[in-house]
Amino acid sequence: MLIRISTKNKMKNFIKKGLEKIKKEKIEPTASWKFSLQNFFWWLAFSFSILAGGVSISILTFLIAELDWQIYANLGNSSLETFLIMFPHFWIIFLGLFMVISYQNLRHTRKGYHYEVVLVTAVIIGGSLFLGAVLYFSGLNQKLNQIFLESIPGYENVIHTKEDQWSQPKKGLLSGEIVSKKTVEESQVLILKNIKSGTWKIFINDNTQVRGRVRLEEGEKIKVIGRQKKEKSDFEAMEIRPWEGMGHNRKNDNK
Amino acid sequence: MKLEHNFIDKNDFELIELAKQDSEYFGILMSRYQEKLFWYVKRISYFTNEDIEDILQEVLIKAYRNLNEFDASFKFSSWIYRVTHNRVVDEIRKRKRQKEGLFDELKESDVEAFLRSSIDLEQKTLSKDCFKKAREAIEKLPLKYREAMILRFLEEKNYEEIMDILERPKGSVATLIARGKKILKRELKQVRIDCL
Repeated sequence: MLIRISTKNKMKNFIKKGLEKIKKEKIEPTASWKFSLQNFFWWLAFSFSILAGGVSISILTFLIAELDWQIYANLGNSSLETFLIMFPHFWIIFLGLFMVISYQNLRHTRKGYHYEVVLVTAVIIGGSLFLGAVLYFSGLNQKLNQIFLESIPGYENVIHTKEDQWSQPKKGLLSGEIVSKKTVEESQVLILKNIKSGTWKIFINDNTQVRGRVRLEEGEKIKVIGRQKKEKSDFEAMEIRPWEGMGHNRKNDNK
Repeated sequence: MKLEHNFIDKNDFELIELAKQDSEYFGILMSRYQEKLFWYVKRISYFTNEDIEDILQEVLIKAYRNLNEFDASFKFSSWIYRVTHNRVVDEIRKRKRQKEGLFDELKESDVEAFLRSSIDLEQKTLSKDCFKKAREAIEKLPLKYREAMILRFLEEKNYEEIMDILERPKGSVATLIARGKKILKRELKQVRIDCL
């Protein structure tokens, strides 16, 4: 009984002391607009992180769709090797990060904790997929990727693009824009400007397969499968494909 | 400002509105919950009475400062329990970092209430040894499970209220309670509490 009374007195004490401190330090309730603003900020951050998730999905889809998945298999790489080389790890990590951030942002909103984890996860994934699809089908993903390439230093080093894939002369893959054409010792030679490794001489012979819509005109962008010659900037073409599109199997179409 | 004398008739929401003008009303409101909050802190933290007094004083000031954050769609009791929970969790973390121990023990009636929530307790009283072992098992429970169980079985809060206090979804609250009971049962089995 005595303990009970003593506890009650102490409790009254804490209220008394607390109120004294409030008065002494002139503490006042924080304005309600500050809490509303804070809540608004968390919702805004949540929306932004969903948008960032959508951007990640659209760009990683673009990067995956743009690459020639068959080419590494043709070069003798295993499926795992191909996957490790070509999978857009950077954007996958970003996507995961934004999903976690989205979840945290929502949990900080006033009633965010009411929503079950499964529901929140489904909304985040669904929202990101929807926005990703909108960006993908509107073609904005390609533009966004280009903006990142131009404005973020080092971005090109963390993604594997179609240009990377087709700038590996040692592996027999080369691409670029035809600068000029000439004939050397009865062989047709293309002067090709590769975005990563400069100017190349592409040697075309009777066995070279020229695919689909390839016209071999100056200014045209092409992909070349072949092998690097002894001379460092010489490349013997076995097959030439158009830069865009899948190409068709029309042998020597442009000859 | 002179306090109105009929504040006993006023509900929590009315007192909150009055407290925004005069902090004395907030004192009246807090006095309605002081005892409940005291035992709540005691049960989850085992802090000494003096420490609890300091913590509750800080809770009072923080709650007053954030009075406009209070949403009338909640119960005031849930909100003030939440503010208290956050402050206690901070203090426990701080003490763990400083490797300070926890000081007090659970009351006998609390131990019994805990056991009744997890197992069929037919006997009315527990032997001394059994009681000691059971209390140790309860105190071993990780805080998140122990607190959810305290709120449910000792504070007798419903799931909605626990959800608002712990800021966790309902499903998560149910999981915490179920897992807490499971762990406690296992612990009790391990220490061979065959006196039950």
